[in-house]
Parts: sequence; structure tokens; C-alpha cells
Amino acid sequence: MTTTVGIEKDLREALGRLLAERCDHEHVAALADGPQEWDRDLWAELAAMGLPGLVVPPEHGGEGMGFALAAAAQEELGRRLAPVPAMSTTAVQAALLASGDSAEAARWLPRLTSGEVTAAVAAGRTVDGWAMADDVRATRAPGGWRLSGRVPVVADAAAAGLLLVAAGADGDPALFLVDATVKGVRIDRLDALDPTRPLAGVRMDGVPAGRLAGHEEFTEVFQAAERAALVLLAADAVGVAAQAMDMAVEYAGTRRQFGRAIGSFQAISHRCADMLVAVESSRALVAAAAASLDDPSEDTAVAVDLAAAHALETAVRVTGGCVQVHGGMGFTWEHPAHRYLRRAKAAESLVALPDRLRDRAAAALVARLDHDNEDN
Amino acid sequence: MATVPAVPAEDAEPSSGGAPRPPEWRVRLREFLAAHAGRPPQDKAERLAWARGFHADLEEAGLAAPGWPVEAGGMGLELADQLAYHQEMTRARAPKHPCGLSFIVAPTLIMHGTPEQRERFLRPLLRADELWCQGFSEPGAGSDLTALSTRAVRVQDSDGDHYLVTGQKVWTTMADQADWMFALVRTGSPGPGGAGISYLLIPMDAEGVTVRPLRDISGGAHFAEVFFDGVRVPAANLVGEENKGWAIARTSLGHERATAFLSDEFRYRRIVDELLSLAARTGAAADPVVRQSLARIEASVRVLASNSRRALDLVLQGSDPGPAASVNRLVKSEFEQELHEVALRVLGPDAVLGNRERTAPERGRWTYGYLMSRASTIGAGTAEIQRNTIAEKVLGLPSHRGETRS
Repeated sequence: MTTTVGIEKDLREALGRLLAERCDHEHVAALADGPQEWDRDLWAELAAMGLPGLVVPPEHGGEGMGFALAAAAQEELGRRLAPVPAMSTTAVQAALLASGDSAEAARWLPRLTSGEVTAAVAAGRTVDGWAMADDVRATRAPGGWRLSGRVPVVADAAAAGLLLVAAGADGDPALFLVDATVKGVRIDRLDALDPTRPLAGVRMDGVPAGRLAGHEEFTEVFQAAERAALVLLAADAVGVAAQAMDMAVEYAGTRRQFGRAIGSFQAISHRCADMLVAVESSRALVAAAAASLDDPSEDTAVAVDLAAAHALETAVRVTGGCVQVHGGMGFTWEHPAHRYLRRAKAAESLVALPDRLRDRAAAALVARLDHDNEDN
Repeated sequence: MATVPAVPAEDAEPSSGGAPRPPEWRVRLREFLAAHAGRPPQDKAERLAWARGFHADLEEAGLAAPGWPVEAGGMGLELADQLAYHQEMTRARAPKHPCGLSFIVAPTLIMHGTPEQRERFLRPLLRADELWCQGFSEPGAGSDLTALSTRAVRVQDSDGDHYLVTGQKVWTTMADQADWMFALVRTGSPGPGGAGISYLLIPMDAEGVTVRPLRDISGGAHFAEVFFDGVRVPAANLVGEENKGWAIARTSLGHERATAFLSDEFRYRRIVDELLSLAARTGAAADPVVRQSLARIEASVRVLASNSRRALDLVLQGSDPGPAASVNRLVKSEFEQELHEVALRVLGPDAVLGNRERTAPERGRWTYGYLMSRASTIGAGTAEIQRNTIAEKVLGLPSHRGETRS
């Protein structure tokens, strides 16, 4: 226990130092508003620290530290709006690990873990979470499969060397791995609400694909990816909210109106107090959800859904509050407040909406209760 | 009952395969609980006597006060064991100690009391032989507690060294049953930081003490007003130094809050399971709006569990409970209200029945809880004062009084 706490503290501090130096507001703004889509150099430095391999076991070149640590790291990345594809890459790693496909795992995990390749999930998107991409068809070909069609919105696709594609094969859902660098894959950049997590449309024209999961394993493997994505997205949201709160508190303590610091007015200070309560609560739920991914139980799905719902919503509320506390300053392009609001708001609808996650969690809890009652 | 693992580390049941055997105290506690199993009597007075008997036996068996140091009559258990202890007690539906307030004064006595005071008070307190009430709030001192004006004047005469106490306390829970009151009284001039306030232990059977019950929002009388008219209190009943009582009350409150969550945690878990059950039974859970509320309540009960463990961990390491404790106080206050808000929504049309109506679902417990939980954002610091505390003490924002006045 103490060692885990110690490792987490060290990791947060090391990451905090690196990001303070390499990923300040000016850097993020320049990158987000410029032609470059993500921070390749930062990713390389994070890879040198072992970050992309935190959830990957040592036999595939990873650190084997689990989601508890990966979530802590993601929170630090969120704090600095780091434009790196950690969430998407981890989701694909989770799918590779859940599939039990040792050949594909051996082929991709070491490269994902070393930071050489990043990955993205190309799936259909619904309010309830990821689904099959409707417009992609998989056909059998000599020596494997070929994919054709388009996925309209894919996060982190521009950076990706590997795509996890959810598509129909012979009428059944399946998961495929596509080398994004091959001929026939086209990535078209989209204008994103949150430019620190770039979006693109993906077109595939008869590209070779390896099948990671057929329809028997589809749900389990896809769920593993979605849960990993939700937990990291939620952890990221905690970092986004925590930093937005710090900015709001800092400003409230220095900005003076009516002859006093505005943070001495309870309308402001109580808003800030509510931010702290929400951030601390989210952090607690995300830590529990991450622990539950590392040590799965019948409660894992509920823990993940509740944590994601809470953290995603909290980040939107806190970043909105941060803009409000900053008044006119918060409405300017120059001030970083809007970048936090953008990252929070986009994250809310990136994988699944908070209210849908809550609905799913409550339904599962009640169903479990019915089940328990029948047992008695 | 739902098997929602609010506590991830389930206790170690003795099993094959070399699982660790439960520690000696746990074996004895289980035996004790098995031997004391039984249903609480219906009658209120009998129920109190039953709970007192249980806790006297518990103390006798050396199984009371898991977190207190052994020297103070406790068990000196580690955090994980304390959690396990409360789990055992909740699972066995053991009667709660009849006087929760005892556990606010007790840490104060352990930390700041004289050896004589510890010797005199702690054991009867644990056994529930003596019950305690808290005399802090006054008609003119609510959120601004340091404005209290109940006076204690020191006199030395042929009867010895005494205080003469005159004034009034209000919102005093259990005043009619308590043997003792731990009170904050004014012994010196008011000043910043609660100057001039002393912490005094007042016998409730002393001459000049009058208790007048106060009817509350639910229609019951859960607290009272207490009047003091020249009540003589031995100077030996002063805790800590004269005029330094404010700091003593504050530190012990902080620590008490942290540990109090521990036992609340399991109780809340059970109540939320009961609410989920109610929603499933009545069919209200089929309503997506109700499901949103249920999920929010479920998230809150998990936050409370996880934060209380964090806070307690810090307390046991000898540090301040930190933001987690302040956060939990506020979450808990509002959680109790939201929980009952949702419960009445789940009851639907039946929510019109009063808490004394015998045909009301579950004998009116949710309506009663709804009314009583209004106190959770008022008592022991209003939600507004708690937000001030978080803003100023945790976030470091400037005082709400403004810089010019302070």
C-alpha cells in the first residue's frame, strides 16, 4: 500500500515537473491553434518515462503498474491539457490484452508501449458508448480480411499508427486491427471543439486488417477498451477540473472589486468550495474505478460508469465556473479558461454521455438487487 | 440485500488454502455478538436499557472503543481493523451506543483532560452508565459560536473552588436524559480566536439547571433548552486551561468528524441499499428520471466511503484529516437530504402520508427522515459555514468578513 502510494506520488511529481516545463499554456495554445495536431516530442519524453506502457504487463514490454497509476498519470496530463493520445492508445492496449490474441499482442503491444506507435479507436459513436461503425464492411480475403468504408469521427486518428475498428463481418460484429500507415487509409482532419484532442474522419479502401475479436468475444473485448477509455477520460477530466479550480481560486484571491478581493464574497467563495467538493469526489470515484479495472469484480462496470459520469460532469461545471469567476477575462481567446472548458465539454460526449452512464449504472444496481432477492 | 462492495477488501473469512486467521479480538467480538444477538424491544425505555446493557457488557469484555488508545480503555486498533470492527457491528445490527455525543467529549478528555477526569468519566461513558449532552449553541450564538454569553464566574469559598454558571443553551440533544453536559462557557472577555471561552463539565442534576423540551420539525422532542441559574460547578471540572476552551473544542471536533464517518459509512451503505430495494419493489426504478437520482445517490455513498477512509488514514498517521474531512462533512450533510428527497420521489403518491401514519410505507420512516434530515445542513455548522471553512481554510481564499474588518 505504502509503496503504491509512494510510486504514485513520485510519478505525479515527475510528470508535473516535465509538463510544467514542456507543456505550459503558451505551448498548448501554439500547438492547438497551429497546423500540428499533437505533441510528438512530448509523447517521446513520456514514453521515456514508461507512460504508454503503464497498464501493459512486462512480458509485452510494459510496466505492469495497472490502471490505478495510469489514471493518476492521466490526471496530470489533463491538468496541462497535454495534446497526446494516451487515452486512445491505452484503450487499444486494453482491447489487445483482453482479446488473448497472442500474435496480435506480440505484434503491436511492444511498439505501442515504447511510444513508437500510437493508436485510435474507430467505432460508431452513440450516446450510450461505442458501437459498430455502420459504414464499414469487412470482407474475407486470401490471408486475412479487408476493410472498406468510413468512420466519420475518430479521436486521435491523425497521430495513430494503429486503428482498432469495430465493423460488421458476415453480418456479425467484430474488431479489426488496421495499420494506419498503409495505402488505402485516408485521415481527414476535422475542426474539433477541443483541439488538444484532435479529431479526424477515417476512410478505408480495401485495406488489410487482422481480426482481433469475432462476434463471440466482441462484447468482452470492446467493453475492455471502452472501460479503459472511460476511466482515463474521467481521470483526465479530474485533472482538467482541478487546474480550472486552481485558476479560479488564484484569480478570486487577487482580483479586486468594490475595494476587496472578489474571493471574499461568498457568491464566489462558495462556488469555489463547491468546485473542491466536486473535484475531490470525482477523484475518489475515479481512483475506485481504476482500482476496479485492476482487480475486476461484478461491480467494475458500475464503478466505471459512476466515476465517468461524475468526473465528466464535474469538469464541465468547474471549467464553466472558472470562466465565470474570471469574468470578461475568461471570455477571451487569450486566456486559457476556454481551452479547459473545451476539453471538458468535448470529453463529455466523446465516449458516452454522463446521464446515459448513470442510467446504465442504476439499472445494473437494481437488476443486481432483483437477482439477489431471487437467490434468497 | 445488494452485495455492492462499498468496501473493496472484504474481511478475511477463515477458509482453506492458508487464508489468514482472523485476529483474536475479532474472534472474541464475533462470539460476543453471537451471544448478544436479539431484536430491539419495541418500547422506547426498554430499548434504551437494552442498548445500555449491551454497551456495558461490551466494555466489560474489553471490546469497546476500537480506535481509542488502550490506556484510555479502548482497543487501540489499526485503521483496517477499525473498519473491520464497524463492519462486524453493522452486520450484526448491534445497537448503536445510546449517546453519540459521548464520542465528541471523549477524545477531548483523552487529549486534554486531567488524569482524574479520564479516570472519573471515560469508563461510565463507554458503558453508557452516564449519558452526555453538548452545551455549545445559544440563542445568540449559532453559526457564530464564539459570541456565546453563558457566564461562568470563579468563586472560592468555604465549599472550595467553584464556577457559578448562569445563562442558556439551546438545541441540546438528550438534555432530558443526560447526566453531564460538556459546555463552552464565557470566563473572560470576548476577543479574536474564541478568547475568554472555557470548556466545562456540568452535572445536569445540579441545583439551578432547568431543562425545557423543544418540539422539532418532525413533531417529536429531540432536543431541549437548558437554563443555568447560578449553577455551582467544581473548578476541577474545567478541561484544559481557563479561557482556552475554544481551541480544545475545535481540535477535538475535527478529529471526531473524521472518525465519526467510519461508522456512518456502513450505515449509509445499508440505507442506500434499502432505498434501491424500495425503488425496485415499487417499480419506481423503471422511471429513467428516478434512475438518474438513484445513480447520484449511489455515487455519493461511494464518495463518502472513500473519503472517510482517506481522512481517517491521515488522522491515524497523526496528521490533520485534511480536505477530505471538510469535503465529507458537506457531502454528508447534503447527501442525507438528497437521499430522502429521492426516497419520497420513489414513494410517489404515498409521500403525502405523515410520519405518524401507521399505514404509511415502511411505517413512515422515509417521511420522518425527510423532515429530520433538514437538520443535516444546519446542525454542527450550517452548509454555508462549511463552505466558508472550505473556501478559507482549504482553498486559502480571503475571509468573507472582508479584509478591512479583520
